[in-house]
Amino acid sequence: MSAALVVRPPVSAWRVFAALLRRDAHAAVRELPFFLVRTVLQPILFVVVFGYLMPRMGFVSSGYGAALLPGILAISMTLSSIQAVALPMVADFGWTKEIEDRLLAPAPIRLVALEKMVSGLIQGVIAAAFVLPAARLIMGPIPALNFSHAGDIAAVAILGAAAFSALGLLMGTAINPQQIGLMFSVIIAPMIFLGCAYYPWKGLDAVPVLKYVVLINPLVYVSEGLRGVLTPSLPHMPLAAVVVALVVMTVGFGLVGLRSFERRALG
Amino acid sequence: MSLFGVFPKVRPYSLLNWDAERYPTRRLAMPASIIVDSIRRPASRSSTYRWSSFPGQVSEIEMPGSGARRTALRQRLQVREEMMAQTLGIGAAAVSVGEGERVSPAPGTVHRSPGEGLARIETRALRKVYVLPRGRRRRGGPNGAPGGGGPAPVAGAEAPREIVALEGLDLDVASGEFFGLLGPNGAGKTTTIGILTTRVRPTSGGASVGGVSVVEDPVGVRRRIGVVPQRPNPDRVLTALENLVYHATYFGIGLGEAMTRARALLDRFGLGQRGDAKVDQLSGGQQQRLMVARALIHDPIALFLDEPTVGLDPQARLDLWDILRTLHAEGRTIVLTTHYMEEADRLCERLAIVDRGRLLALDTPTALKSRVPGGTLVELMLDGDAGEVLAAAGEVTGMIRLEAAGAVLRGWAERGGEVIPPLIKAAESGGRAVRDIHLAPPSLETLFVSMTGRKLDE
Repeated sequence: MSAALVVRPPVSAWRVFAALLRRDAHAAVRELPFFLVRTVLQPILFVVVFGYLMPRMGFVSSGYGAALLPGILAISMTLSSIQAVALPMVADFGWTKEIEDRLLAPAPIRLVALEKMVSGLIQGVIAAAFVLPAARLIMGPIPALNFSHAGDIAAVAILGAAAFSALGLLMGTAINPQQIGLMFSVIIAPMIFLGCAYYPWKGLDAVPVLKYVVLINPLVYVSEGLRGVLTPSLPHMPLAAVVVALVVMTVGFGLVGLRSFERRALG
Repeated sequence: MSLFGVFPKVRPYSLLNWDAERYPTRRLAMPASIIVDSIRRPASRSSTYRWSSFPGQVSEIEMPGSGARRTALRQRLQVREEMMAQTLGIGAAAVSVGEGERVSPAPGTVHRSPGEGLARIETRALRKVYVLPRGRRRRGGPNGAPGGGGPAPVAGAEAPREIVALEGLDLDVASGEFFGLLGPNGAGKTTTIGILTTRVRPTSGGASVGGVSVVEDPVGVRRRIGVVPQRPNPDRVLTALENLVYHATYFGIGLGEAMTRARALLDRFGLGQRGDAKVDQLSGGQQQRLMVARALIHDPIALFLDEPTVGLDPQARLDLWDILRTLHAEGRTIVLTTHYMEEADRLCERLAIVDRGRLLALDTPTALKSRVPGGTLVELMLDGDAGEVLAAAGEVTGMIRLEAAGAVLRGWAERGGEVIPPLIKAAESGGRAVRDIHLAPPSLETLFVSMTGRKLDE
């Protein structure tokens, strides 16, 4: 038998990457109902209250929907991308150690982290693709909504999801399992409420200090970027600023996240 | 020392701290060149290279992706490296490979006998120091409190921030050997396995598997090894079958082939009916067998198991032992850590006894047992300090060695039973009452106690 024992041939990084992605896709499809509840329910509920009920009650003007819709999309991406990357990773490094079978793959450790980021990106875009038609259906017609820049919409969505996945990687490797509840109340909740999702950034002219403080929040750029491409007739941040900010944040969070991942993965 | 002389290195290979005096090597005990017998390029995008490495031994490697022009050169280099590595057990510089072409090792290449190096494992002056984050201390208290058995913190600083897990470990495991690392918790066993499986970075020193350095080429090492963790860590989103299938795909094995391998392994390990079960529905023994199956799905040449039978019921433990014996009979190199001396005794061909990051002894279980001082270990648990009765106990005839550890009076005697009454008398004459008596026949356990003054399971 011993003659049959041979060293496995090298595998290209792409092939390992594809196999890791396939595993994540399989897991995501299996958990689709939970995925949707986790990432889509909250934005949809918000749409029901602020885009459907309140306009009918006369508390907010019917035009609010146009400002709300891009923000809601951005929130669904925040929730899905960050959670898709960070939640399993906190558990993996904290106690289950399940990720170890992937860390034994014949590829650089960083590839595993990179794949997690891409997987989170895809899940973010998919969540947005679920929320957009649902929100439009619930809110009814939104005159300012404009789909003529489909390419730009996709670009902003992908960039935004990438920034959130990179942030998810950083959070997933930096947070202890005991602090996971805090992650939502201390990081994600403030991000969402101060992310210019429920109001345009220009609206913060009323509170200038806040207007500049919120610029550290990636959600601001995603919300504003989506406003720029979905409802271009309404006030929004210049698209160039959005793109630059998101690229810088993706690279920044990504690099720190990769280093942090490697530190956690290697004793 | 550079083995490849004037030949340029394509990739850094290392024969870590190769000690030619200690490990005499044979020069050119193999053909001076390897001739590629055939290259088969089936419809799938891979090529199979076949050659006769030694008389009677035909070797084959399959290399993925032959088609694209861009990858052709790189692939040829890889083929060459792989062939050399498989035949010699070490890496080599690169030349091109085609059908009927010769692949010559660099002149003067030093190597050992045929095939011996395929899965050779070695560590040299391996040291690992864990630096604790500020403000956190290791449970069990500093400076290895009695019975703590943990790695000894660095002395000196008031609040130790560093834990020395390995203190210069040298190990050599021959290809095809069943090797055991025996020691109590905190001996450094898991750290050693962690380093050899590329999951822990050594602080200093070196380690290699099949001649490939774990630090310089961790990916190359991962292609050679299978790992069974201390605690089952299956992918819980997936079923038992999927756990194996996906793990195989991480190693470049196609889905169809992965499925065939996975089913065969499940059948082999008595999990054939549980393939579609979620891993949480499997018993502890089944999960551990699944972990062994997963470690084997990519057909590694070396298998590392870190205390694989901890927490298993006796039957599951025996089942796993049978599996391991079979895997070893297939020619696989196995490194197992355990703190069960019976497990080490029954399974391993050679054993390294380690404690506090140091190697205490290394030999076959039989040879180790023959070193046990004076046979039977006699322990008397007293109601107070045993040191005070040591002198009186020394008068007892037949005692080979005596020592006091707290309230325990420990001695070795050729015939354990005969020395008990005089020992009790000696203890009582010293004003101590005997609370309990423990006798242990010569075993690895008593050897360990004689070397460290502690028990394996402390």
